[in-house]
Amino acid sequence: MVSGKSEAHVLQRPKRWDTPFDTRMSDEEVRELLARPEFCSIDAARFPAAAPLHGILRNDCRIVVFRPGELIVREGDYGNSAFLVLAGMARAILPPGLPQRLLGRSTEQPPDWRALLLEPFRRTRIPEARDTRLYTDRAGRSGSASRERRVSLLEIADWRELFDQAPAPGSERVPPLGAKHKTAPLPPGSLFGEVAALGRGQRTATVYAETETRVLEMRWQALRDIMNRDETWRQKIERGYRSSLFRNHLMEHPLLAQLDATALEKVAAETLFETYGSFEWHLDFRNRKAAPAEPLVAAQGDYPDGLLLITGGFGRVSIRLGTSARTLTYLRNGDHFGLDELYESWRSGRECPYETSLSALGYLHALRIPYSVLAEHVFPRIAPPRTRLVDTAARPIADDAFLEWTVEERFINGSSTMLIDLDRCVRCDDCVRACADTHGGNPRFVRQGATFGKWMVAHACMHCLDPVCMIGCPTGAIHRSVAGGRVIINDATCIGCGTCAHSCPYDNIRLVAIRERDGQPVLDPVSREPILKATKCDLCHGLPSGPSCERACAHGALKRVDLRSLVIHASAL
Amino acid sequence: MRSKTLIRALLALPAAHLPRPGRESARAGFVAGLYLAGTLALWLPVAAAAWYLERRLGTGELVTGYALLVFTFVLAAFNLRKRLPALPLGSARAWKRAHLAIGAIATALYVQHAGSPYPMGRYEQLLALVFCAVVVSGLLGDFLQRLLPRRLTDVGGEVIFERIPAEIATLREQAEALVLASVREAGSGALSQYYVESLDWYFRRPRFLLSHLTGGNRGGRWIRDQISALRRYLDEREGRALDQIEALALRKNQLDAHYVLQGALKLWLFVHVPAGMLLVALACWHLLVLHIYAL
Amino acid sequence: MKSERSFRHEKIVYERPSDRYRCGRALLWRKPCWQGPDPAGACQGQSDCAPARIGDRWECRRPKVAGGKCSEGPKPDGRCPHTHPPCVPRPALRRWRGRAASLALLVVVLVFLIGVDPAVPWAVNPAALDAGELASSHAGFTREHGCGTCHASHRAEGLAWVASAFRANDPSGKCVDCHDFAGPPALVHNATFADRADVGTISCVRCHSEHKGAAARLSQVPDHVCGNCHRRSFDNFAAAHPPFDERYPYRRPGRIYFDHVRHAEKHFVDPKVRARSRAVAEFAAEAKAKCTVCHEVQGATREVAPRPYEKICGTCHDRDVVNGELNVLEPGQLTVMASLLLGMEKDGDEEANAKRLAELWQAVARDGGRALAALVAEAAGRKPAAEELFRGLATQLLRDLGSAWGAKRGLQAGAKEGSPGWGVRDNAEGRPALVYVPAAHGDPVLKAWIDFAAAAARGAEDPRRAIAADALEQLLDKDAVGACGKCHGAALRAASPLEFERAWKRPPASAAPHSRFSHAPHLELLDPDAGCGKCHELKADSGYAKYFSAKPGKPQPYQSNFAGIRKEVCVECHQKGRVDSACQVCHAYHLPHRFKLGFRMKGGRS
Repeated sequence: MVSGKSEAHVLQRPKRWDTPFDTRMSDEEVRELLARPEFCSIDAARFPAAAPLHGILRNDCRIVVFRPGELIVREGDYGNSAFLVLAGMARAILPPGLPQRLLGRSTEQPPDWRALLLEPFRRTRIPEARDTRLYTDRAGRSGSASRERRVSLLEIADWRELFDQAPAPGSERVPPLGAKHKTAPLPPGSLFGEVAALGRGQRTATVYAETETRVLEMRWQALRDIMNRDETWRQKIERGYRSSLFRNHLMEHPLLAQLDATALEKVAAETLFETYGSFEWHLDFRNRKAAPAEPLVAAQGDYPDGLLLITGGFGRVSIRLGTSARTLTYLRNGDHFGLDELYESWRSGRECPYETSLSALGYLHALRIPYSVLAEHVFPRIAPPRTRLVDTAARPIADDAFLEWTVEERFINGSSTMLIDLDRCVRCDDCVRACADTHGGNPRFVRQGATFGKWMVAHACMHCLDPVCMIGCPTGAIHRSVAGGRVIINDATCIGCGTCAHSCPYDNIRLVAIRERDGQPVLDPVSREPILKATKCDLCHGLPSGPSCERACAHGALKRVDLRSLVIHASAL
Repeated sequence: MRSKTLIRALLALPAAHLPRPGRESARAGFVAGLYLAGTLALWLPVAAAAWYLERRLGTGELVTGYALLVFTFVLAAFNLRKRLPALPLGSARAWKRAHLAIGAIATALYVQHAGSPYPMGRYEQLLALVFCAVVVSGLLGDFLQRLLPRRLTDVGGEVIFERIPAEIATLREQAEALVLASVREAGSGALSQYYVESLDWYFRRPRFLLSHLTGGNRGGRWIRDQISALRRYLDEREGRALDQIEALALRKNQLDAHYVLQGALKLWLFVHVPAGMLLVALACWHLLVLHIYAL
Repeated sequence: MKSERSFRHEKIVYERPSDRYRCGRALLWRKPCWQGPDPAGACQGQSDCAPARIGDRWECRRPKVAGGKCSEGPKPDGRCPHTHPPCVPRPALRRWRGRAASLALLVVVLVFLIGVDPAVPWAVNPAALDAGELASSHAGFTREHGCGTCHASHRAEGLAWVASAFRANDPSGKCVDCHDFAGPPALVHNATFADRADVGTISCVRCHSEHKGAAARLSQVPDHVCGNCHRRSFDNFAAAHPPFDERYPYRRPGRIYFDHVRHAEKHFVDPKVRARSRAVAEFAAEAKAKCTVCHEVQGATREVAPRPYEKICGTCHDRDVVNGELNVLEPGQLTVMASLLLGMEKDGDEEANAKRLAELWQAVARDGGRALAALVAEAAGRKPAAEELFRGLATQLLRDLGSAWGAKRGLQAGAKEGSPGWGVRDNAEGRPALVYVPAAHGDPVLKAWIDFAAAAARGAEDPRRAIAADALEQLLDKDAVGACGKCHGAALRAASPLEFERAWKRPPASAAPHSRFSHAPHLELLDPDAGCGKCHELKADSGYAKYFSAKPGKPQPYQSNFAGIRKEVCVECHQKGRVDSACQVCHAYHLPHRFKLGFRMKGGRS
């Protein structure tokens, strides 16, 4: 593959299934899977030749066996795959779930000190140099990122915290959990984990293997392809998605924390799932010719009929001012809208109209709990709301501008936005150099971007709450780290298709033409086009002390922030 | 999960919605106090020990001397820290604060150590001069770092220093294209003559550097004067081209300011860093000579 | 409010501030190429792309960053149509900064390493070692051998020179090649102090810093240096110096009983005294008025000696000295001298005494002075020899006397009564006695007899000792012949045999090697005749006399008849803004300094 020194190197352009999820998947196993009822009902003819069903099963799925007690997914982890139980019995732990310390979660993997210390001596001046042997040596790698140590419930220090009776050592079955832990069985044929996988979000529940359990782990790309071509799967996934959303969101919501199981069931039965706006909002947003559509969810002055619990996307809360609307704040997953007015109506007995408007920024998923249910089950059990959403209008109008800007630019999506205080920034580029030095000599952001007053949001990955960049990735190279949910690109599996870069509404992903370590460009042997890799900020994943750009700023000008924390302190700006 | 809880807490708490500048400034005051205390805690023991020893048979110079040497190395290590961003060596911000504090301490200790402002020995005179250069350039740099970023913010049109030549070249290309198009369409020579006589000079490279450095607006005034002088000779179509050219020139004016101010933010280091390196070398030499000849 | 999308991911590449080279075109304010220089600094932008051959066609490979594929496409031979002359990439700003640092370092290293001597091109330049100009006193003799004169390590070369940094290199060892002191040079104050065993050695450079310029005064040491050791460290004589001892500087009695108060207040104004003679009257009047009549202060340093007895005391006291005859030997009488010589007690056995005397007279008649000399030797066992005691006594006279005493007859008087020297007088019984008349102050015979008695009084033999002590008391009685005891008595009584000779004389100035004081400059500021009282203040009722007139065996404490000098008197002038009051004005650190013999050669050669 590698040609002479002065010549460009060539490398077969990577394709979707160059790096299978698990290289050990055999034809035998694929055949076995295709014979199962879940897959034999699928019309394989509807799949394109480039991505046939058996190809999906072969390359985007893997079979994993969990010992009794081992956790399959953990609540709070970021998931990129769903699971189909093939044999054995899994069990989901329903909210409130297990305490964090029982989940055996280590926040980050320990840093590789040897590599850190050797880093200054390994720096290369070749831009975007890669060891291409790593790409061609397929046997030695696997696309599965989940090599983390498995955690077992049976390894718990004090069994009394979980079980009523001590688990017998070597037992084939995990004893039932104590009465305070509610669980649901997941027999063979059950699909779980699809909500987090498709919604680019966190696992909403912990699932463990009750007996030895054989599961099919499916990359979300496999799930997407199958549900796009098979109605049964689509309905199954949507049903599961909704029920899971209902169950978890309602059970976890602090407003409903006082409700008992039966009341909660009633609430769930009456609750509606609503969607506003477009799930693929970023396409609109990228085309800046026209203002993106912003569907109204609730209008100021209308009478509310239910409480909205936001489960995904973003909503703008605004109030009429002059000839336009003034943005007060924005809402996202976990927030709610309409409580103040509904509670006041219930308390005073007269109908109170919405004091503010809510509109969907991009898309907004919400659960609507009708007023009647609230009046019967919720309001009698909660303390009166201490503040009202409309109170935020008390700040000076001058302070709106920054919030309006962050909303308009959709920076609300970011969780680690690179915000630079230009009044402090001496333009020394220490941040860029630090970034380059921690990424093999290559910067991973551009120190330039949209400015508002003294604030500049540089072109660095914001690690969005809704990472739309992940939508089109054919290989799953771009994924969220299991702990922390950082959006990370696996360089080994990236095929340079550019889907993520095009999807990113903020232009924070860049395609780079790679070079061999001798400095020569690496080209596709046929088209002679350069081999590309998508690159972006990974928040210095694996470094012991956080993003090096922020730590390298000697003037405290550069911060990685969740802009909402700033917006809430808007007038401190 | 934690951030979720935090946000809920923020939404639930009444006061969290409202800014608390009082608390912010109190925190800043606390940090400043801590910083000052740290500085004094680092300086006073050394100075006092040296002063005491000076009055107990005069080895105080050794204390201040070695402290100065250690501090010089710590100060120089700031540069090293910048080269090793991956290692958990503390944030650069803390380093810079320590750099300022230790720089101030070292200056005080230097005065105590040297006694007279200008020593008698020739290499010691060089050492003193270099020390002076480091301190003065450091103070200047700190001043510039506090002053110029705000000026840059006010100028607007943020640009990366290394990209300024490319941006100026692009502006020049665009201006030339506008002039050419205008000449082709209108056929009048006024605009092209004017471009050749004046604008070509302006778009060639950054201009009015001193004015930008001192905060003046000579460039902007120049553009205004030139454009208004020319406008009377142009027809409507050429006038539109001139408007676009004016916009380009104003952007160029911004770039010029960025070039000068960002350049100034880099240039002081051309004194500070080499002089600092020289200082480390001379300090080591001083130590060696002293140990060979007098200690 | 929404920003323009000018940073489309496909349009803008990462800016790489760590790159070592910048495009040369950009430095000429032209558009830089999209490729940029390679890491080695070579231009990569001579054409917009490297077209690729696909099948039999050439395709443009210009990336989107540079505008995407060009419309015209590659030339038939596969070359890109958009070519540019190569630029000369220049190092990035930070590399220039690094170069500036390296250059500065290099220049300094070169300047340091290139010596002035062309024969030794890589010697260290003296300027790189120059710690400052030497004091003028040292500059001359070190010129020939340079730094090595004082810094031994300077002569080491190469690595040995560097290695000497790890040895002790105190140059003080070289100071003593030339400088010597009246005590060990390395010891603090060149002396040991019984009460300060902790005080040890010290290096010269602790106090004396060289290389401070030609005009620097090396011996000048600031006050705080003294404070290094002295517990009370101060830089203000007036405020912080401890007060002087209240008897300072009159702690010890002098050897002469001279009561300044009685003389000044009584004797010098006594009409009886003044009536004695004109000379006495004049002297008394003058002495009353001026201290300088007795004390020679012109040119005096610390010590101000009184003028000689003859010039001052003698004016009045000569008649006390030449005041009678001393009966030395007489028959039938045991004189003080006889009891001393024979070791016989006055109130002893009279028969034995008479017998012993009779034998003596026979021996004297027979042997003259030799008989007495034998007695002296027997009595004292040591000098003063008989000739001191009997200086000027003619042997014939003695023989005659011996015969006369033996025969119990008279003798014609040999000399006129009252004339000084030896003579014969008839005593009350009309028998001849050997007498001595002192000639003047400091009469040697009288002094010899006192010395003889004192030596015997401190001798070993018990009966003779008591006799001698008794004899000494009689000789020192204030009314005794010569009246020696009147002024010298106290000092002589207190003196040990070894000090006895010294006890007659004015003592040398007390040893205070670490103090400095000179009367002369002070007197220049005061009225030289009357100004002494400014510091030396008489104290009327001091009890000065008690010490001198104490009964034997009942010593009295000494009280000066001067009030102690107070610090405040000094402070009147020695204070800030007036006269220097640094430690070194009054105190000397070193014992007296001298240069070693041939130090110039030593300093030069070693």
